[in-house]
Amino acid sequence: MRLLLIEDNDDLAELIVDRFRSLGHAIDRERDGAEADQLLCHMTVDLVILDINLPGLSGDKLLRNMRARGDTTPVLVLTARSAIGDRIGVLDYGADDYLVKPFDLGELAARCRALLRRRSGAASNTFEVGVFRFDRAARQASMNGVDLALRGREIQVLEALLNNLDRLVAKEELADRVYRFDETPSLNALEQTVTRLRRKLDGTPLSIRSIRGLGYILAITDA
Amino acid sequence: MGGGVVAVMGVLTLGLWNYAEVAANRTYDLLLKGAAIAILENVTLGPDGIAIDIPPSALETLGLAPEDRVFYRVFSYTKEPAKTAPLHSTLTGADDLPLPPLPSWPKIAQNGSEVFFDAPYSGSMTRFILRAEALPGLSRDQLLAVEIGQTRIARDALWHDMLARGMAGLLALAMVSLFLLQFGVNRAMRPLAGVEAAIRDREPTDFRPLEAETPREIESLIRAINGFMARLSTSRENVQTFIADVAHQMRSALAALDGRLVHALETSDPEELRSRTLRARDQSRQAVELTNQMLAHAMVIHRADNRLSDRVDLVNLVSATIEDMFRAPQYADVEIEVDIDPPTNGTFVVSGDALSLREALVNLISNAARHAGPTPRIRIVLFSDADEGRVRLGVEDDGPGIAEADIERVRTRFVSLGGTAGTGLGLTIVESVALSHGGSLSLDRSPLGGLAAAMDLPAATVPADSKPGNETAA
Repeated sequence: MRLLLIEDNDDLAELIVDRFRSLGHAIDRERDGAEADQLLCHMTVDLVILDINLPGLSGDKLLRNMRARGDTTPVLVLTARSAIGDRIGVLDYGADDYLVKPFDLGELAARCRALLRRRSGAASNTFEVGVFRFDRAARQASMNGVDLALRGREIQVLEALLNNLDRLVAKEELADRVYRFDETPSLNALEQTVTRLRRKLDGTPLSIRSIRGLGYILAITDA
Repeated sequence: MGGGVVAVMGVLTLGLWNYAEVAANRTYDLLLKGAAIAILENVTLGPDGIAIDIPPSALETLGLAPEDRVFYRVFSYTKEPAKTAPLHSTLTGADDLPLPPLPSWPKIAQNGSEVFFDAPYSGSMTRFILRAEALPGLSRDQLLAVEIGQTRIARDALWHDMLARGMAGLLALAMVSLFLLQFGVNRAMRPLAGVEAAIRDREPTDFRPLEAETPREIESLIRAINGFMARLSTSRENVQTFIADVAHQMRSALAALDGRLVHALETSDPEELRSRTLRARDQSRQAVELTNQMLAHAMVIHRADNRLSDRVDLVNLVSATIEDMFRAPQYADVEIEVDIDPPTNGTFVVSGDALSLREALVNLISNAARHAGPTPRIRIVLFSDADEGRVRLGVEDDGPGIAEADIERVRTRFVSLGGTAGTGLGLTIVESVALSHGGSLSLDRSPLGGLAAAMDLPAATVPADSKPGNETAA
């Protein structure tokens, strides 16, 4: 993965750069918002880690510039809690995720990984993570190359959840996607489908979490 | 104020003008009438015709106005002439005195009658009287008339004199009233100037009530100012207490952290070092969480003061918060259940601040998760009572719970029970948010075994133009 870190605090920057390098990623660091903005006009990265409070150009302005240019590179924002509204407004500006300082470096790495996966989950024809592979065109899921033999409805549920990785999908919404309009969806039947799917996904990094009363969340667990 | 006085003055002046004119006229007209009557009384019909014997007194009375000239004539005329101009023949006097148009000539009434008019004569504006009588002996349609004219000099002088004196009086009155008014107002305002001085010279920390030796009119003002200062004083005290608490907590946490790091530095045994460093890490985490909580509390209070008001759909809020919180590894094994009652057509919309409500929910959930049992299970409850207009948002856990006696203590700042080393601010923040939304925090035992903490909030009133899906999720 190639990353760009835009952070003005030297201590924090050093820790983050060390961490990602030790994980085997290529990471560059910028200190100033305006210079980073210039850099991003020419440079392509897989992910940007952006501190909201920057000298030069502020983080949210930089983010808006990126999106205005049509740059859809995933951005994870680091925000300080003391700025009221920082946490929520960021997502409105076009950030993909945020972390509040101080944070755990492990969590930062995990969130970055999740961000990239979410992107690839919705985009390409095959979704791969660890031993799991899902071929959208062939509508086939496999673990370690072995077909998981998912049935029709199970594939529909998996697809719907994969398109909303890490997000809560309401059971009504899931039922809408999975059942045709002439079928009468029974929420009980849906629960049974999900239970079966969950069992088949056992051993893969994918886990389906039930929030009883609301819906489901598909998450990737890092081993 | 001055404008009003001027307007009143204007109206009074007009009235005075009119009155003076009428009064002056009436006075001199009476003199003319008296003279006319006197002359006519001395006209007789004798064997040689009409005999006129003008009494000198008649004209002398008029002569009392020294600068005015007097003219007269006596004549007879036919009552209803065939021609437009009556046939008249002057018997004596100036025969070129002007006459008014015929229809206004006096008809004979019981005591004779007269008409007054103004006309220019001999170079001046002159006031004339024309009085007619029937003379016994004359034929029925023949009348005897006398016309007397007097220039207007004395009359006008009287009019102007009356006007001038009246105006002078009015002006004096106006001046005095204005002066008195100004004086009165100044007098009334003087105590306010006193209040102004008293407040201006105050130290910013002096909230003692103002001394009131004031007129009744501003008593309520003084009371309002004193009330405000009392509230300000209380508010300041609260802030000072808050800051003192925060300072104490932060210093203690950081001191403990420093202590643990020093402790770690004191050993060279790698395993012991690791163990001590891990404990220091825990302490550091606690200090961070404490800081976050205190900032959250300050934020919530600040936002409450600013009275932000969105329509917040609590169902959306719960979904978004779960999505957000449960990505973190510490919630990986927590089983969550959401109980929405009634499941359909219940309104879970409240009017308030999305960010604060979210902060409260985050605290409720993290509290519940921390106190949950070995296989942690928490239940989020959303209950809507449409009749009462209430909405309840609560979180329950399946842990050991809190003893009845201690349950109310958890509301207090920095009190953390249950041996799980929380910051003690979680429920304080939740209560703060509930109160600022016009609701309350309720604490009970949960059927799951642990604590049931819930915010009871008033439901938002439905506006006339509401559309579903407009509500905010934090």
